[in-house]
Amino acid sequence: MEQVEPKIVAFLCNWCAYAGADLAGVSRIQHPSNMRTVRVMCSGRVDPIFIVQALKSGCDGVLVAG
Amino acid sequence: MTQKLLKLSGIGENRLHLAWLSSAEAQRFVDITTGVIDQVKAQGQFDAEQFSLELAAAEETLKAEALRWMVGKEVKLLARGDVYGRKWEKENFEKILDDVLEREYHKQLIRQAIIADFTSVRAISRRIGLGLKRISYLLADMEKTNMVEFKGHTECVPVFGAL
Amino acid sequence: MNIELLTLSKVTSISGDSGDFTVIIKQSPRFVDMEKCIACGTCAEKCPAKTSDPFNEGLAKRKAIYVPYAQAVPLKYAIDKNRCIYFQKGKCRACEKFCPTNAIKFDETEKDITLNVGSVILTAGFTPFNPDRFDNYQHAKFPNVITSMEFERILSAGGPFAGHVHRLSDGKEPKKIAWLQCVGSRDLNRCDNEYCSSVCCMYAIKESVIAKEHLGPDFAPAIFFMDMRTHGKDFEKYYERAKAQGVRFVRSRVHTITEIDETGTLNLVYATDTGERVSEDFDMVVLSVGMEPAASAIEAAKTLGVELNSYQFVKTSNISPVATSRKGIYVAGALQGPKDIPQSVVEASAAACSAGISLSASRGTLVKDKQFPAERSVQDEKPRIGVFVCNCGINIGGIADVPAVAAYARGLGDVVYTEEPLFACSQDAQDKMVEVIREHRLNRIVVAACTPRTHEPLFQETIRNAGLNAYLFEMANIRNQCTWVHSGDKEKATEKAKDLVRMAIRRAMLLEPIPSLSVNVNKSALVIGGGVAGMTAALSLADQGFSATIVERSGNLGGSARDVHATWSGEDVQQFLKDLIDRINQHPLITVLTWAQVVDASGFVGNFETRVQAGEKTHILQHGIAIMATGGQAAVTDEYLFGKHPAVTRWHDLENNPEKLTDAGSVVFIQCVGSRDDKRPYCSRVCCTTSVSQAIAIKEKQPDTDVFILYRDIRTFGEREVLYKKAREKGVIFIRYSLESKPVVTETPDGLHVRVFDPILQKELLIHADLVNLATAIEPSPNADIAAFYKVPVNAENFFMEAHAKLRPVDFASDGLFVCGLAHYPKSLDESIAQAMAAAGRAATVLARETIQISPLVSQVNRDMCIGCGLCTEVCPFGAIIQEDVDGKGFKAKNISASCKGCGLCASSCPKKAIDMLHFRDDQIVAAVCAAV
Repeated sequence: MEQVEPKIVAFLCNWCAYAGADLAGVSRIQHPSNMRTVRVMCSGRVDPIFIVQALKSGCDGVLVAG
Repeated sequence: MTQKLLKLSGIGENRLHLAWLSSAEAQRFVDITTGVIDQVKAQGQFDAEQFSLELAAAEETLKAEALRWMVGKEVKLLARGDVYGRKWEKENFEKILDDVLEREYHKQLIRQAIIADFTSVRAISRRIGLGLKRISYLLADMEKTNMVEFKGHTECVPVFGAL
Repeated sequence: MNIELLTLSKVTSISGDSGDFTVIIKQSPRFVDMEKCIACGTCAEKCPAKTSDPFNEGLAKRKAIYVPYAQAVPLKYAIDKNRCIYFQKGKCRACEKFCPTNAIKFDETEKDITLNVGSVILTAGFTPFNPDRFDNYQHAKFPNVITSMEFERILSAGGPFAGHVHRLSDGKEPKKIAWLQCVGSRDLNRCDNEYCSSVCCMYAIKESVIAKEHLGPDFAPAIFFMDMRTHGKDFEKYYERAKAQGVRFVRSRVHTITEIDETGTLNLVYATDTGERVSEDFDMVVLSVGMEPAASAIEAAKTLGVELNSYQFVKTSNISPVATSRKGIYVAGALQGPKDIPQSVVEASAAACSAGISLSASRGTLVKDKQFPAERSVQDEKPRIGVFVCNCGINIGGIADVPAVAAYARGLGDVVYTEEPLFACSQDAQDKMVEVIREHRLNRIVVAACTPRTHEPLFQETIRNAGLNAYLFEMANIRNQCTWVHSGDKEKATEKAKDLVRMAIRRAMLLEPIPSLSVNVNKSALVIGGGVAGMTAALSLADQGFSATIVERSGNLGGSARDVHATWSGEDVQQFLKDLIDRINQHPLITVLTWAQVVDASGFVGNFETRVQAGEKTHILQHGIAIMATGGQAAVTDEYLFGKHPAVTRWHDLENNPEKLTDAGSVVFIQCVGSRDDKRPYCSRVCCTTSVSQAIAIKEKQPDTDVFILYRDIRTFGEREVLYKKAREKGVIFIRYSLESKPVVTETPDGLHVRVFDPILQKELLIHADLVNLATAIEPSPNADIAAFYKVPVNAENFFMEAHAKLRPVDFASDGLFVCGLAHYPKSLDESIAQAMAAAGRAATVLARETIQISPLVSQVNRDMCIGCGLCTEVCPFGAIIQEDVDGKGFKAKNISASCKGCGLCASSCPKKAIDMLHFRDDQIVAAVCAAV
């Protein structure tokens, strides 16, 4: 196990997952802070190339949620 | 597909997660997030340097027209059939897609290795871990499609350059 | 812009008639010039006079010059004359001295304002029940007995204790809190409010769940209740979740509260189901107080000459739920009766719709348009980014280190200005933002605050006011997705906030202006479903001058209401239905298609095209909006011998066949048949009231017939509670059962036997039943096809899902589409009518316009790179990309902006990468991604 907290880029769809994440906020559901969200208008916007770009820039994982 | 590619490259498919949820599912979002974080933690820190060739190859693979075509046509091929009216079986389609993906990725990886100055078949093989035969076979193909060129011999070893 | 707010005002008289009222309003002085006040707060800081703060239920102090709360609209200070030292003692004027804008006006006087209006809508709300009048609740005596309103403030992050729950006696965190339900409701012994306040069960659960979140897993909340009334949409699931999270529910009414020690710990004495006396200690007691009409509201209603009912709520009828007794005056919200937020919002839209109908002739005559200054071209400028890191009171600033985040932003390239407003969304902060943008010639704005989903439009308008294109704006979500969910770790929350701000800045550097787009509006409506909801919606639109087509699946209009005798307050439904159908058939603007079904749909707000199959004929309808009123029906069940024995019926079968009843010695109603279980985890809302009404009718006609109602919780919410009381008075026997021990109906040689375990007598009862009537669940019509055609969501139980459960109860998230009636959730006729009018009211906001703005965030094809392969056209789910034959160049892709939803599927699948998305360009997304680490 690494000591360093991983950073994870999350591509979230504005209408579903991003809204879900907002609602988690409204409901104050606490969770770990590793996600760095990139808002997209639809998970279909996420070109697989973006995922590779994210890994190239050094993040430890990627979540695409729609 | 990207997950397969990450598996293929040794980066690990568990670094990419896909999930579907609705705007009302706050708890589910938290569960998914927590799950993903745990799995990524289990993978340990990701060293982009170590995988620089693999990442570059993966990126080039995903840019390749052939793959983008296949993925874009998936629904049509499975549901409505190809230009000859043949409907494709999902399994069959996926197998072909996997083959194309693997082949394309290996080619790109070889090319990246050459760019990184691993110019002989042996050196490439040591760097990327593919068999000599597979590399030679793909190199021949890559020469035809102008991805690489044969640059001559150095101490009786054939040397390649990227185009 | 088209709403004028008159605060501190009171209606003193009204004359005239619907369409031409003259209203005289008395406006008390604010002593602060609204034009000049920038709500900087200096006055309140300097004001020496402290007084109890009513917004915080007296738990905090405020100054004599004040704003009621941070998000108040309008955000302008006011002087409380009774507390002001200058007004009381003749000197001070500190506020005047320190006000930077000279806004204080001590000489302001009361004004009379005369308005000429066509309609009036009453929304004067309610007042919470005050338990101080009654000694049994001990609210006035014990500090740790508080009302739910007080607890609400204690829980609030913006409240007097910043959300830290503690006892008022000694400041200790409570380990156990008891909520007592029905305080000031369902009670004739202690007060006169025999009605149910409808909202308290749900808010008590909410308070207990949030308290548990604040106080941690060791905290033990308990709710003492009579019947748990979670009859709203998705409320039952919340109730079940609360149970799972450890909220204890005790079915009992607490009779004695005593203080047991000097720290203020409380002892409660209550009886369990079985009659056993229990004594239990709690750290705090929260009284779930009910709703009463406010004295001022009653006075206003009297001034306006509208009739009140026996509880002093404004009187309406079930078939015209927002019309008062005086023509042209409408009512919405809790002034009409206890209700929750969604229902209040529904009624508000319905009242607006009613007013819209009576004013339709003069529509648009007084409308003002928002004007923005000319857009400044930023094309040749280097990015000059302004970053505003919002504190959101303490929502952000209390957790993340806002100054550190702002300082960090300041150090990033192209950032030339940073600021840390307390509330970036407040009017003064917005005004300042406009100034700052001009002064520093900022050309990209980043706001790190709440979520762009709610606040992006507001800030975009602000930067437009400063002459910037709306799309030169980016938000970093550091509240909803950061401080709110990482409140336990301030360092990590700050670190994440910095990362999010950096990502937003990197993206902002690449943002570009995007011109706006608009489309024309087809001024006709499509209403799917010809029940009461659909007909009411169509009629409400047609009466405003918009044509409407009703698509009805069956051969007749009327829907579920055809089976219903009377509304819960006794109005004749069949007569109402007949009148409604007559009006529909005679209306020149309404077309009805029966035996008709939607078979395909396309288009977008203002320009939908729907294919309807009506018998042999196919109709292609062009319409600007669509209303889903597909209705629902009572479910069929295989429980309790339904369908196997002729004496087992459901819903209205019994009252519609009165001959069955004549010889019946005993009738058993069974509630919750297929509702509130695993398969349908929701309450069907109307069944308790219906069965209770039917039981009363039987008792009134045949007092000797034994009538039993087997129930889990009686949910006769609001004023329907009176029916429950009446039924008990008439001798209807209510026996409670639980999901674990359901009643059993068996057929025996001497008729039907119903066995049920009575929890009070603690034994099984056997009832010889001549008739058994089941309140089966109400389920929605199959909505899957329609949901797919119009791309609107349904929930797990197939009810249509509105855009926002509380605030947008009739809108879908997609523009131009609305929902009403049973298709949304089970509801009574009055509620369906109100919701249908609300849908029509909302729809009219689209149909009344010639053109509407659409999102310009669409795909963009680089024609030089496009090879015309057509893959984009194939993958587009909205038909928004076509292939166009360009002379000499072969096929090239072309975007249809109005259909494009900006999803970007085309861009991410284009083999040539020839398609990019405006505002979500590849390089903009990649910039944010790369800045994440």
